Amino acid sequence: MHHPANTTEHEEIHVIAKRQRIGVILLLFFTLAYASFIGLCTFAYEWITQTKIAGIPLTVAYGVGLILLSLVIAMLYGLLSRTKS
Amino acid sequence: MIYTSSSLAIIVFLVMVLGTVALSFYLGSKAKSSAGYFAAGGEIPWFVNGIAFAGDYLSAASFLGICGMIAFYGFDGFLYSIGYLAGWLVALLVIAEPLKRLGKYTFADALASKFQSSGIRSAAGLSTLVVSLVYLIPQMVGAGALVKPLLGLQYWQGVVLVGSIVVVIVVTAGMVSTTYVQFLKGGLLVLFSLVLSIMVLNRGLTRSDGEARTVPQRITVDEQKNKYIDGVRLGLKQDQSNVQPVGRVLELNGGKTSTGPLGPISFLTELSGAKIELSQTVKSTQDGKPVIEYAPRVVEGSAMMAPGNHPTFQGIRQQQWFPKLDFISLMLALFGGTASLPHILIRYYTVKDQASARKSTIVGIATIGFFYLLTLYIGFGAMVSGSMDPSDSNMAAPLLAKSFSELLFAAVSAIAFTTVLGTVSGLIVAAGGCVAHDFVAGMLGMQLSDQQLIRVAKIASIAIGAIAILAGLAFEGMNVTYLVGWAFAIAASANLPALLMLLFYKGTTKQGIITGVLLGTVSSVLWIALCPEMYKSMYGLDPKYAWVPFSQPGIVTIPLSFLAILVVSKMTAPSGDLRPI
Repeated sequence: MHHPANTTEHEEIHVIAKRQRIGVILLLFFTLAYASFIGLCTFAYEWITQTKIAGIPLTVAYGVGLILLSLVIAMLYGLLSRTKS
Repeated sequence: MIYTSSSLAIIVFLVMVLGTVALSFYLGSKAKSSAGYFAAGGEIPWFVNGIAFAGDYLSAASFLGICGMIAFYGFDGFLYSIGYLAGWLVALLVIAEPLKRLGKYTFADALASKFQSSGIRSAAGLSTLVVSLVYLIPQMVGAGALVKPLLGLQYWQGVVLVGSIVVVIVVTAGMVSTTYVQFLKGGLLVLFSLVLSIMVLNRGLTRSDGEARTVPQRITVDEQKNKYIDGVRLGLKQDQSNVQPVGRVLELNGGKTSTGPLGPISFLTELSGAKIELSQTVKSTQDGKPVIEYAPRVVEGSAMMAPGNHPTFQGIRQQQWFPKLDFISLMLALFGGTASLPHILIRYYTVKDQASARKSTIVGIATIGFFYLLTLYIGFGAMVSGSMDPSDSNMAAPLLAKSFSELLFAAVSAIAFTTVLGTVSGLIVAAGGCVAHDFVAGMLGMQLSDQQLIRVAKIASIAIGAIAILAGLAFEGMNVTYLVGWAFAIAASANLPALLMLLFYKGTTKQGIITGVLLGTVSSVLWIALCPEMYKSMYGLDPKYAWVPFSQPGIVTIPLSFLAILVVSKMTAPSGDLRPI
């Protein structure tokens, strides 16, 4: 026998789980980028401070890049969550 | 430096503060129910809530502290911008929607939702109060420092003024007015920061006339506590002298005298190749009296774009492990702390559903991220503006505005002040709601009507406001940014492990959560109380006698809390079906 309410609830749980999975994957990706930045600043200080990208020190370029990456990931998550809903 | 209080600044300030209080009274008359007072009835539009997130989050430490730190120490200030924003992704990607789904008024609602445990409510309520109070301290310290140049008031008067205004705002209207105040403040802050950044880029970089300074500015104090600068009485009268502003370009790339207007990238490349004159503060004593010297310091622009100039971050240049761990620990706390701050978490209850919670967080991230990018230009712009006060880095952004126009200075200072008001009111609403719901209704089990709950929260808000004022007075002179870092560390140690374990580890038990929250709170507070920075700045003792080897607790106390939840949950696991939330 088919129960519409239960089906809807089941679908909602499925969508929530899927969205949670997307969130975790995106967070792991960002965490890796963030941890690499901290690691380079701490353990490869000379290299990160002396390397330049388009005339800008890598520290600044990486830092600005992390902020822009946050914005991109936030937008991407919003987009994927909308599709999945 | 002695400031003249500008009547224009006072007028703009009064208009903004009175406008804020009037808005509170107006909106307060509309919020009568408990849901309206504590969570704005869940009816705040997601876009408004998103900008209000920025208003809540961009505190005095963000605006005054980060811009000032970049202006004085370069890239180190931007590390805070990166860490503060990174934490928002944790909030968006794993916390926002479950929290909205599980809770109603407070962070403890979500934690207690699975087990209906008053023990969890009490533990989470305690952590909320501790984090709110610790985070309130730097806001009050910032307020006291800000009113000195803006209104010509004493430090203590600024602290009392902010505490009193915020209590009035919170008691009159609760979450509805707080949200709209945050919305306006967040919007204005980003708008004026953009204006300031565009003016910095349009001004470009200009080589300063004259040779580099060789003699420091020397402040001495006599028996009557009168201050002298280079032997002349410090003041604004004709026979007195003032501290000279610092921060100028000595050399530009290719021997240019001026760059003309620059773009966002060319500004950074030109600055990287410039030689800049800054100031270095050296404190000493002579015949038992304090002497402060602002010694000239010439630096390469590229060196200011590397981390490790500020005392907090100098450890990463050293070979020893503890200073490096201190830095990693701070960045970990900033990453994990945002999604654990009580005044941020309760904002998820002001929107109607999970989709709105998600969308408002995305708007918040976009607004906050954009602001943090601007801090780079405001900070570096202040560094070469020739207008910085060597005695107070927190004044870098307002003084940069003053170097363009008095009106911009007035607007930026008033916005900075409302920034403090906004963050403090958000924290007091969170703490007041926590006392009413988690302690009185949850822990004590008192059955209260809507109106009684609101009354309890308002009385608690007055008490918390009073404690915040006293704490602000006690911590005068303490580094604002450092205090904020500690608040993040406590929040990340107490709340984040419990939230994540509840969401992702199916074997989590209520005993595990209670242990994790309490251990995270107590261990991080104890670590801070016994750390070298506290010994030096608060107790006036030699930091080498501190009980713990470095000052940021997160790298120890966050994993400790996770471990405690795991171990206690294993020990207290019931037999039967266990599913993650």
